[in-house]
Amino acid sequence: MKYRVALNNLAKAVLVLFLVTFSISILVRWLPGDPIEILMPFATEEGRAALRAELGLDINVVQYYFSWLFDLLRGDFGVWYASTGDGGGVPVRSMLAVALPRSLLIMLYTMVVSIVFAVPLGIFLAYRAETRTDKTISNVLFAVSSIPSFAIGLALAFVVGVQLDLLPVIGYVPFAENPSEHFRSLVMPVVSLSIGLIATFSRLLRVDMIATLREDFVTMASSKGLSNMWILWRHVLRPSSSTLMTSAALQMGALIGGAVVIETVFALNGFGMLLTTAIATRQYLAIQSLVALIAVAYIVFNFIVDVLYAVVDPRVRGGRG
Amino acid sequence: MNKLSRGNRRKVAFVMAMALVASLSQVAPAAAKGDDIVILIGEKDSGWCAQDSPGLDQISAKNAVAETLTIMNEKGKIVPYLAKTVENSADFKTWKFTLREGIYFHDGEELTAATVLANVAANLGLNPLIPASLPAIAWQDGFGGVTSLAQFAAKAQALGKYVVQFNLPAPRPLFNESWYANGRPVIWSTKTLQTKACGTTVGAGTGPFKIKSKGVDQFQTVLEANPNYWRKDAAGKRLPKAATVTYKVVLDAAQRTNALVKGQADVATFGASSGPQLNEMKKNAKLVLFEGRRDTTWSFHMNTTAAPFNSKNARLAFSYAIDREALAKVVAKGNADPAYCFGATYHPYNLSNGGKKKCATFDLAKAKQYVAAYKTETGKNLTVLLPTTESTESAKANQAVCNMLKKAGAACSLMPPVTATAVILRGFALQQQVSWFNVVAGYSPAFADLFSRKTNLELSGFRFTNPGLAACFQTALETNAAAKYRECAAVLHGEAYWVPTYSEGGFIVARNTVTGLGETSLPVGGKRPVVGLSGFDIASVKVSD
Amino acid sequence: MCCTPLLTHESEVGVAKGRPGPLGFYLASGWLLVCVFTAFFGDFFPLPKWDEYDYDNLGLPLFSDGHLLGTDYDGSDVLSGLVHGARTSLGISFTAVFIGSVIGGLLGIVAAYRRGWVDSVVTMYFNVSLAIPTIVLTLVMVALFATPNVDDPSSGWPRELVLIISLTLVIIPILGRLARGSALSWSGRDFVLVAESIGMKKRSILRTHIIPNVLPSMMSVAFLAAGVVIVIEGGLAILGVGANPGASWGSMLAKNRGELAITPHTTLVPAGVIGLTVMALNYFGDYFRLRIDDRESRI
Repeated sequence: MKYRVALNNLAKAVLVLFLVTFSISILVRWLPGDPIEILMPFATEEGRAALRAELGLDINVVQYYFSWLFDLLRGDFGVWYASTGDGGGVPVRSMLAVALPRSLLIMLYTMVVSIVFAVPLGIFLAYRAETRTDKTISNVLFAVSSIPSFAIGLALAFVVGVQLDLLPVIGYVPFAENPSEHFRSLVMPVVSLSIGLIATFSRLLRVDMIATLREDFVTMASSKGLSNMWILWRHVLRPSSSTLMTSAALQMGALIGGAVVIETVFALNGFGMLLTTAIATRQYLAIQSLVALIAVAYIVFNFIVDVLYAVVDPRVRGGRG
Repeated sequence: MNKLSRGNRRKVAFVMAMALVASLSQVAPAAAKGDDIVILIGEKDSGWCAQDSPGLDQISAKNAVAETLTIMNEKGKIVPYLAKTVENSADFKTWKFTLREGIYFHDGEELTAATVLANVAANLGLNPLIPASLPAIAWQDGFGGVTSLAQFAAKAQALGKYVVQFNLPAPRPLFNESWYANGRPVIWSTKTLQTKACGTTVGAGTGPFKIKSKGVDQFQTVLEANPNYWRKDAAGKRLPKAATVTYKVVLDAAQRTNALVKGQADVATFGASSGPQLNEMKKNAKLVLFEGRRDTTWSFHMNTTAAPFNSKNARLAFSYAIDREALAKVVAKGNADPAYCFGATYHPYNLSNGGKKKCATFDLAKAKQYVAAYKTETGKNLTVLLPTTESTESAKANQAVCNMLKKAGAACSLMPPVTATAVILRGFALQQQVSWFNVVAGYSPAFADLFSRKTNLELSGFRFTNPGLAACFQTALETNAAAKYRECAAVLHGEAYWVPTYSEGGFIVARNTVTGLGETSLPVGGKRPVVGLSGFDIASVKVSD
Repeated sequence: MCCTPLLTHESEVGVAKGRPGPLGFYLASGWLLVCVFTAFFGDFFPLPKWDEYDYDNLGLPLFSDGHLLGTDYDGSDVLSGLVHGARTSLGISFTAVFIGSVIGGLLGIVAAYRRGWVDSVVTMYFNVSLAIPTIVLTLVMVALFATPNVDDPSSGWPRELVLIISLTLVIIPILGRLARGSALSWSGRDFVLVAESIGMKKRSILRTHIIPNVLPSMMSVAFLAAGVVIVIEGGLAILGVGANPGASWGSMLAKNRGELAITPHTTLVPAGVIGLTVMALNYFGDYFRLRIDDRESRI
């Protein structure tokens, strides 16, 4: 039974991927401005026709889409169009090798930092529910989660980066090049993105934990003589974390988009900027490949959420229709 | 679950946190050791090969790798550079370039007449691998139209291993200047011109640095020293002084400022529209500001082949609406001068009579009048779209101009930002309403002539709408007579085909640990200007520890 | 350690769930009312026009003569910009969320109630829309519709309109999914089954039983979404595709972020206003959510 459900979900996921990439490929064709015109506005008609043929733009959209798809499945992300045609442009794969790791790392660090700080905070707030500490901290978190992350980023860059001169304001250093510089260059972007998430996550966790704390099995555990901390971390956390998990996965999806602005503010030149450049210069091939990557990531995250949801909350496992 | 008690776990966490903070707060190593220079520029890389049209910042990066036959010295004169001597016939139709001997490209090839001819062929669009583009049109005009290698051979020959001769159909008194053109027509090795990745990821030139990594990261180009560079410094020592140069693209001028102030980079370029940032940096003791002579006039070039600027009313409205003093004050904050005429006072196009006369003025009443006249004439409201590059400086300057146009009653908005190259190409292809160009630059009209000759390289399109003007510039070009140039420039002003805005000199800001800016002497004697339109001489620059 | 209750202040359901107190409610509604009022009547305030550039007073700090919140680098008054921006930011946000909620809600409810192929198609549409990144969609929409043809410069829709459309498209699946989930859970309730069994028409069941119960949860999320849209618009402005510079709060922020080191208030004040508005909207969203939870736990 489980098999069929899983297969069903997989089929649906593939269909979504197909529809997303196909609709994007049609949509970008409607954009005003032809890549050939952008690359060679002064060429002769033959020159342009030749470039069009070389770049594969003389076939119709559907054919183009499928040839892109088959290439992608073989690991070929296509080429950035250049005026010298096929062989003159940089392979998108090499560009991704530069841009993607930094974006992925930012998202990963953001998630880790957010969860690492939000979980103890949420537990603490639940434990101290309705005390003055709880109220103050909750209100502060509420306020902080309302500030846009790029505003936090700008303010941090100004205060910490320029005035206090503690951290670099632009640029990204790969881990392999210089580990400590790598982390230093990412502190402010990650903090900007995490603050809102920490606030949101801890509030979510707090609410769920308070609800769980009222359940019977908790009273039982307490009466068995287990310490509060043990109960909180070991027994209460798991069943209360479903909303947190769902939210985390959804936020991951939002991060992919939201990180573009932070990348711009901190000049990190990651995946988001690559995508916006591709759209601006009508790089059909690159756009399709990059959007496909995002869609895959999005679907994978949702899938992980669904799995975790079932794993984490045993009450859900049995009762799902 | 580990067995640490709560209290101990807290202590461990605290210690770990402190260690993390301590490691992160360590003072950053200086952005460059003496041998590595980091330069911040405001333009993305769109290619360096014969068919590409980079903007000023990328040209300066290109010139670190590949060089031109002639060059401008600090007095504004064009002198031989890769060429040893340049001779011309009395009628300016025959030009002979004698090259220096013993100059080698980064891939080992020697600079010979054959190489130069291969480059000219590529510039003309005769190289099958390299598509003809904007530069080709300019070159084609000079050669009177060349469509085959046979025709080319008639007009350009190698007279010896190191001697090239050009036989031009029409007089070109400034031909040697077009071989500099602010660093655009560089000489690549023959092998470079035979690869499709020319200028994208590879490019072997004669310059002080060779390409280590380019193109894969659109925001970063890394160059390393050329151990066989042909130029030496005044003391006879080898150049370049630095080991590597990294050009990093930071489109936001304020971020360039911050990074420079913090020592994350050694040098950064700025335009006058970053006025507030420039004034802040002037106050900083750790930074040194170099400003070029304020003779680069930014002008709007109207596309006269399409609406709205095919109407004289619209053009005049635009010209009268620009408050040049306010621009210099608001956007440049004093780092630029208002320009009422084209070019510096000594430029052949300049009609200001030594700065006494104003060619284009600000008159809000007249601007509104002409906006109304346009409405009467065409029945539409005057709507202006300004092309913007991705650099924040471009957006800022355009926004100020838009505000002024709105005051005059026109509607104005910015086009979505694109690369500098795209703006240049679209402008020349008459695909934009206006283009903001620094064409009338420097000391001579040479580059400006690209826009006024009888080619379809007409930024304004006035070949189609004002053939007399095109003929005027053709004559001026062939006779190089100042009076003729002035005559043509008068029409430019009268018809408001071009609208001057402000003049600047370009800015380079360096940390005070950077030495050697502007020190390299030229082989023929004299020095390069410290700040030229497209950058500075990188060969003698180094960072002292 | 044993036996001390984990919940130290076991109290009424509402408080333990963190229901905000009345002071917060008044503050939040007060602020929102001020914003909405400004959006409607801002034109009549005795302030300089937001796009009037006072070239003699560039970059004034806060509390200067004639410019209460100062001016930015090109001389436009910050306070006027905020007043005008209220209309743009709130207009875009509320319109997009409202239309998106209506369309998304309808689709979701219909899908949930009809099931079958209708449900599959609608769910597929929601999933596909959610998978397309907001940035990509908006960039493409702006390029498609708001960029005028150079040959006909007055063509092209106003930027604000295009933003509303693309943000609506973003909101539809979010609220649609929520509506569908909520409608699904309500459809399974006893009283609905009873209504069906007594022969009540599907449409009336929808009208009288489902929609009124789905609406509150949608409303709470709609408030939150409105806040998110305001922030997204700011992000888009930084990328160059937001509203025209200075016309909305987000684009004020984007326009002045270069001068952060020189005149910080021109960036921080719009950021603060955005934060306060989002906070107020979140507050309302939370408020509705808690009221629903109360209701649901009582049924």
